[in-house]
Amino acid sequence: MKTQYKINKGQYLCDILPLIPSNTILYKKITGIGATTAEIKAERHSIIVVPNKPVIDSKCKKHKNIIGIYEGISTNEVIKRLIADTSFHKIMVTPESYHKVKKACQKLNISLYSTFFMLCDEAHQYIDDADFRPEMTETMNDFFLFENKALVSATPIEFSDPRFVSQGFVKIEILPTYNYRYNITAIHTNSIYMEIKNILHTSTNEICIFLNSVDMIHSLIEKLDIGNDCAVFCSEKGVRKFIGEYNFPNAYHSWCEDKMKKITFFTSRFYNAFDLELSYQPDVLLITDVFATHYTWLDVNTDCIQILGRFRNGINSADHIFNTNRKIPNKDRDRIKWELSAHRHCYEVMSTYYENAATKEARFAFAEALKSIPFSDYISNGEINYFKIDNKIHNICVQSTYGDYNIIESNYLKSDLFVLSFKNRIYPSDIDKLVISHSKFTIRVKRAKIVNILAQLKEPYSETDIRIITDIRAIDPFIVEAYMTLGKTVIEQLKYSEKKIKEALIMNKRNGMEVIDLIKNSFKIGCRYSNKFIVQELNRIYSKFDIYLSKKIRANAISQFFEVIPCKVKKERGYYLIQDLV
Amino acid sequence: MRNLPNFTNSDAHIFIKELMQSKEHLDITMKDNPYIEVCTERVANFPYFINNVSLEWIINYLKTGRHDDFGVNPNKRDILGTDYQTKVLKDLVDKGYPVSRVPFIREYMPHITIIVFFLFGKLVFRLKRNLQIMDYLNSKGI
Repeated sequence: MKTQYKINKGQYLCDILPLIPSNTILYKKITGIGATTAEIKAERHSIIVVPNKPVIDSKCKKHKNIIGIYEGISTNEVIKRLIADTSFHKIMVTPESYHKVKKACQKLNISLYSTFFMLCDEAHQYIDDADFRPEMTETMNDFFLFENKALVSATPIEFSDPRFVSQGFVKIEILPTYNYRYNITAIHTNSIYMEIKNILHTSTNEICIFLNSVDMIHSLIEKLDIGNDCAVFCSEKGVRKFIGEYNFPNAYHSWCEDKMKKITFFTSRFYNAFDLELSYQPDVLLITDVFATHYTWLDVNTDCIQILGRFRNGINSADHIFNTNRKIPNKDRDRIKWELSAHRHCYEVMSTYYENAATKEARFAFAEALKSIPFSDYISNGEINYFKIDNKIHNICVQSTYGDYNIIESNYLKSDLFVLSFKNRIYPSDIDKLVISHSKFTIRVKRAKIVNILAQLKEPYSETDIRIITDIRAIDPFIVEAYMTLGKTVIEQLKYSEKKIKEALIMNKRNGMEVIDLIKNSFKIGCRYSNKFIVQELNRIYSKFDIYLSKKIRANAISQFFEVIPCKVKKERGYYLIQDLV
Repeated sequence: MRNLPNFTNSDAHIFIKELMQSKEHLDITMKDNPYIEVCTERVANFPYFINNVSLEWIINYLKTGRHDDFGVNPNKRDILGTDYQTKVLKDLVDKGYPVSRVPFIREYMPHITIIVFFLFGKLVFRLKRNLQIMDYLNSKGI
């Protein structure tokens, strides 16, 4: 069911909808109509969950009654603020800190689910980040327990979680009666660097560049020699990298206009929710480099809308500069859903075998087989995690769009939020290229430091030693497991190679799934391998277990384990791995 | 802080000295207030309130194995300030002791764990992460 409300220019959400109704998904279409502010002013207790800290900072500056909760704010501080609050509680919290609100309410005997209205802002982020922020889905599990709750997003989203249907959620769509479309130029190019360089040289305006890669931003700053004219807003980790490793001082984790320069870079932490209130209208560049890192891939229907919506006082121009890779397979939503349902069926069949196993040994074997089925990635605490499924579908859909520039163009044209002009700029292949420099402190070096610390903790471990190991495990569980299983000498012999260490750990487990685990360790999704390498590697793995197959191993054997398409690797025949089959 | 009934700071002092006399490897965790937690591989953590002199006594044992506690009054309270942990750490860094920091890999944690390994034990700091301390540690290559 869908309800529509019209909004006129200059009107705010509270003018047409005084109170966000419960059990609704509010698709507000345009940013800056005051949905969050409406809830802050609503006469009820509210918990507003937002994806990142910057939005909390920005709202706390404007509304003094907000209790902002994020990393570094303790549960005791939350309790103190709740006790001191004399009017309606207005809590703004990140998913990672939501547990503090729960604890504080428990201690104060506040019935959380009936007292508060829960509003999840920027709801598309619950799908976008589901694969790497488990707290997002944990918070959503709690969301469904609230008596009164709603989701808000400026971008259209499809949730497959059946609880939305069983709890009778209704969609509310806000329809602007005025022209709200963004003018954007989509520039398809084979040289992101040259395109940025040209724009920087010709533009006289202030420029805001949205690029989600600290290493790529740093390489651009160095190559374009713009260090004195630019600032970077990124995560705290990024700031430390810029200041500590790249010796670049103008990097910040919280936004303030005074810190901005002629050219200002923003990473994804600043794509959503917070307000960029500038005294001028900048040129905005959105960058996607499919060859650099997948973190830079922007979804036309979510990221691009969100980014342009940050500028509360408007922009001068917007350019989305991107490249494409024809090797990226094109899959539509229905095809992905069909594949997932096949994997789900396979998982359910195996689950039935597991549940009905007659012996302990059979149960163990089915348990191991269950783990190897790709659908097991979408199971959390024995339940299907629909947000992870939506995330997978979303990611593959976004990825598919960068296989061909026509798809990007058509996505822009299909969206009713953009007025598009499209450019194709192809440079000669010998043009000056950007080489992305990576951090000098590699994970390998950091892991060596950790192993040295672990080696200095002597057994039997004291209580303090166990606490240190627990701390380290929270940071890098992989290296702790490797150290405990293999020891320092073996890890050093393997030269801290993650692939080799994983292989040694798999060999150590002896769970019957070693061959498949080793194959998955050697071959990665999204990579291309030559036929020669595939045959060599499969032979190497089989020979480790003295397995001699009746037929000679050929490269297409890889298709038993992965969905593949043929491709060329340095002029040799090979395969591109699309996704796991086992 | 763990509550140990009828276990005064003088008792803790005597117990630490006994551990020192038997050349035990002491694991010391610095805490605010100011107190420290002491444990060994056989003894669980127990609290010991510190002042300037007793802290020096403990660090001296960790370095040299000497347990002489002349002039150490465990019941004397000094105002060490809220940043005394950082001061102690900086002092040890300046004196060139081998200070190891548990590096962050992909995600940053709210606390930084720093360990100073000595011949007769180790001193563990769990400092709240902030820009100042991170800058300091980076500048010292830690």
